[in-house]
Amino acid sequence: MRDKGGTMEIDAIPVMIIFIVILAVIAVNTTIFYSANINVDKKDSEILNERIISCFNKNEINTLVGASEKIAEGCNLDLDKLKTNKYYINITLGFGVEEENLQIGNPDIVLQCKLKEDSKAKNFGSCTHTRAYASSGQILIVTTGVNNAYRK
Amino acid sequence: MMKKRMNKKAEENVLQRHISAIIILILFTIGTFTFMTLQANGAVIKEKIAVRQIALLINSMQPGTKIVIDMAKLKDEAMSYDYAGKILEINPEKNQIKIQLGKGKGQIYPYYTRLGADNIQDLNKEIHITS
Repeated sequence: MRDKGGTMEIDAIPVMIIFIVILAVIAVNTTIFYSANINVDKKDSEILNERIISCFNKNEINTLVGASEKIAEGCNLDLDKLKTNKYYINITLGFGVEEENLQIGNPDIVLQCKLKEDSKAKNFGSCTHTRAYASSGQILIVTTGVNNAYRK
Repeated sequence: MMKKRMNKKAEENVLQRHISAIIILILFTIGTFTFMTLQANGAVIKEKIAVRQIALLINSMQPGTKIVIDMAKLKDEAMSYDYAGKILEINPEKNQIKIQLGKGKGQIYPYYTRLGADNIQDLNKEIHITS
C-alpha cells in the first residue's frame, strides 16, 4: 500500500509470518540434519557381512541347504530379527557354474542402496558387498543391507 | 484539527501493530534457537549416539565374546539432566536397547545378535554381556 507521499508502507503482520515460516523451516532442517548425521546403517551392514563370512569359515559351511539354521545356531544371529524389513542378506555359494543362493530379509534395501549411490538420500539403506572363499574353496558372495529407518 | 487527531491515532495503531509483531518475532526467534541448541546438545542426541554405539557393539559380538559397559559416564550425563531413573535397558525378547538420559521417552535401537536374559548381567555400575 502507498501513502500520500508515495512511499511504500509495509505491513508488519505478513512480514512476521514470512520470518516465522523461515525460522520453522530452519528448525525442521536442523532436526533432520542431526538425526541423519548419526545414521550407522553402513557400519551395521559391514558388521553383519563380516559376521556371516566368519560364520561360514568357522562352521565350515559348504552348502546353503539349511544354512540359515546353521547361521542362527552357530553364529548367534537372530534370524527372526534379520527377516524383518530392516535387514537384507543375500548369500551366493558355488564354483561359478552351479551356484546356490540364499536370501533373508527385505530385498528392497538393495534397490535403496543403488538409489542412494546416485542421489545420496540419507534415509535409504546401506549395503556391503563382499566376495570371499569359503573353507570348501567355493566362491562365497555376501551382500548385506541395513535400513534402521523402517519402523518394523 | 479533527483530521489531524485521527491521523495521529491511525499512526499510533500502526506503530502498536509493528511493535507487537516485532515482539512476537523476537520471542519466536529465541524459541527456535533454543530448540536448535537443545537438538544439538540435548539429551536426545546423546541418547541417540549412545544407543547406536551399544547396538553396534552387541552386533559385532562373535560367539564366546564378553563385553563390559561402564555406566559411569552415562550416569553423569543423566545427572546433568536431573534424571535418576533406569538408563540402559536391554530387551532380549524384542532385541532392542533403550537408553534414557533425560526426562523424555528415551531412544530405542534394535540389534541382531541372539542374546538370552541370562547373557545380560546388570551390576548397576557396569553391564556385562556375554554371547
